[in-house]
Amino acid sequence: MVEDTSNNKGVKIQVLLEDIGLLERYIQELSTFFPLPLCFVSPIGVILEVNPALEEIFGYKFHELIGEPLEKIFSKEQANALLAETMKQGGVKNWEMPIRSKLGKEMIVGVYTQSRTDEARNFLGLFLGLFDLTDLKKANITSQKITQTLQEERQDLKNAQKALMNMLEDTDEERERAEEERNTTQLIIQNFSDGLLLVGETGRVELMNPEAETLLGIMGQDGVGKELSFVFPQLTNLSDMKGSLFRVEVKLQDPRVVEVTTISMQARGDAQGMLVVLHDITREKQIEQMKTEFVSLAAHQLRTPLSAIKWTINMMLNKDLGPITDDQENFLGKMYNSNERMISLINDLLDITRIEEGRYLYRPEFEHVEGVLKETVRSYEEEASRKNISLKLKLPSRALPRALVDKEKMSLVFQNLVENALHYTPKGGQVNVSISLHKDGESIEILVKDTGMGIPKEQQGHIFEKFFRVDAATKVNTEGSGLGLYLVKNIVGAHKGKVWFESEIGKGTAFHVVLPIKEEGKEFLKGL
Amino acid sequence: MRFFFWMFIIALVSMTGAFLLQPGGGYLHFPFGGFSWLVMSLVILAAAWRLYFKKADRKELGTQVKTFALSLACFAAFLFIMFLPHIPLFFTHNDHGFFSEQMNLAYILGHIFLYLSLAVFVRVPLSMTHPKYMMPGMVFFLILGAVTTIINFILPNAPEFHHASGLTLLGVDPLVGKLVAINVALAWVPAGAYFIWSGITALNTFVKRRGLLLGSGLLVATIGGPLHDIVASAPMFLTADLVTILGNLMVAAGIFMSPSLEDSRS
Repeated sequence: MVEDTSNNKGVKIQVLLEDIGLLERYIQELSTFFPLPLCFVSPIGVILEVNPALEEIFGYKFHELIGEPLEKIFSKEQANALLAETMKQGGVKNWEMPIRSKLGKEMIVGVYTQSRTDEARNFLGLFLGLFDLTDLKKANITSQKITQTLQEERQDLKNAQKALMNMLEDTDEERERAEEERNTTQLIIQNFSDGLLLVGETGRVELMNPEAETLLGIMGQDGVGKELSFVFPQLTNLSDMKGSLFRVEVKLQDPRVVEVTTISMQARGDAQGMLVVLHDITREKQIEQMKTEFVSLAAHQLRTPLSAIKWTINMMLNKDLGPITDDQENFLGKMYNSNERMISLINDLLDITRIEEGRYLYRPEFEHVEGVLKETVRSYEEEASRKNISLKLKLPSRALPRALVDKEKMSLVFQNLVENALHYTPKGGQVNVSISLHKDGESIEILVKDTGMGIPKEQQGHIFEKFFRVDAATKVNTEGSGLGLYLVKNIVGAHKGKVWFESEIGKGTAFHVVLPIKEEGKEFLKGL
Repeated sequence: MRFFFWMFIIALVSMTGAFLLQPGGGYLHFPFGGFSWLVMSLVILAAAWRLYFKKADRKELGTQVKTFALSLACFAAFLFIMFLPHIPLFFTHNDHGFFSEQMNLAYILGHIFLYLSLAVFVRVPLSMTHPKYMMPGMVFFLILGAVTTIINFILPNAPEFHHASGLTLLGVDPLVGKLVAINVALAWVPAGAYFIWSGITALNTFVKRRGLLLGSGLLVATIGGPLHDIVASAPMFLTADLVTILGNLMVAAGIFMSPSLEDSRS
């Protein structure tokens, strides 16, 4: 029986041992299979068991960990804290701890421990499980970074939105202001007392105000979009509108006259079209015409009796009306000269009125200007010699090209200049006249230079004005009318020439006249 | 410009075609020579009319433009008279003797207008370059024209209508032919050169173009016109006709061209 019993016990033990073996294998296989790193640590912190997952995470081999202190995989502080807390609380849950693998890889793991006790609650060690949080943490950090970036971007967006809103507000304000300005500009344009035409780069009218419509007799809707030559056919000399500012008088339907100003509009140096301003000068023209007519009539009326006086005195001086004494002859001579001056003045006045009326007819023909000048100078040689003034004419060695001039009027220009030079040059002085091809090769320059009294600087700006005489000149020569240089300027201007002078008190004056050469061949070809 | 160009091309194609594609031994009944005289006379007359009535109102250039217009009118008269004997040829081609007689007369009378045209024309360039010689120049050309006309009466032409080509062979006596060529060349070559020079030296694009066109036209016409008087064969007459048409059309184009806004600005 005892044997049986001992046999039974032996069998049982055998069975139990087999179970334990099976259980051990089961636990080993389970721990091998288990993907989370696990280990069993003794109460004094020695690693007793590890599974392959733990070997893998730390990079140590099984034999490198077994029997080693927990500090092998944790720091001393971490190991102590884990042991203490496990003993005290029975385990820890998800303590995040930084660890370093054998190869130095730094990781963050969540540590779980569970104390192992016997029946008497004696601490036998602890189970330690790790959960690799590195990727999670990384993802977390990335996610945090993304979140932060998103937040920043959101903030930026908010700021941009805010800025946009501000800009929109500003734009609204600007738009309102621009609209106000546009309305104001339109009001100004609509109510402007002058006619305004805005001509685009293509030469088409883009805008016209009511005054322009009235002046040109065309409705806005009929004119806008049309060529300027259609809207304003009277404005023919478009080719002259080269500069930035151009002024011309244009006669519209009788009696209306407008002064047309064209202003070239430019933006950053590029032509952007043209503004045409029409200023109604009908009233001024009428007044001017009345004045001119009056002067003309008065001059004509004066000239008739003066001519009668002239011929009567002439007859008396020629003794056709009987003998006269020497005194009488002297007085009659003075009367004759005064009368001549009066006639000359009236002739000048009539010329001025003709210029102002636009009736000062020009008959331009191709002439050799040096011939005209030569004739004029020759006619003054006697007077110059009487006054003991050296009058010299310098002609070019080669014949100059012929210029398109009105011979009679050009002769008057030279007469006035030479006469003035002779009048205001003292005895023994010099008057040098020369004619040459201007340095530009496209014009002829005539120079009348004297060694006379000169023109004071402060009066030089008025020299070409009507009836203007230099103060000192009135003392030297009482005969002048102050119309000669006005005529000179107008005649030269009508020939599209230029006249100017240089003068110095006590040294003399030099008058320059420049006349453009119009070559006949080219003019002929142009005019066909 | 384009109009004149196409007119020349049409004339060139039709006349060359008629000449080259004549049926073997057959007769062409259209008098192309006469037709070209007519067309040229009308074109030149139109140019003269334009100058006289449209352009001669400018005070400073009126005389010169009128003179040029008068010269062109005389030239148109010459061309038209040269066309007149061809009228029967548009209907019948039988009376060769009559055509020859009439063409000889038309040649002599028509050329009087040509000499008049040249005598008047030389006044234009001379008035610009040597005004003193305007009258002597005109008289010289009148005398030269009169002498040529007298010689032409003494040495008449033997014109004939060339059926195969539709051209008129003028059959001019060599002496008369040379005299006509001298007349034309003396009047037109210096003037043509002067216009070309004026065109070359002009700054204005339009004046430049017109000068070159008018000058070259006169030079080409100088070659083409007298060529009629010194050649005898049909192909040479065809060449003379085409060159003359080209020259006259160039002159007319020079007169009819008008400046663009751009040109007038320059």
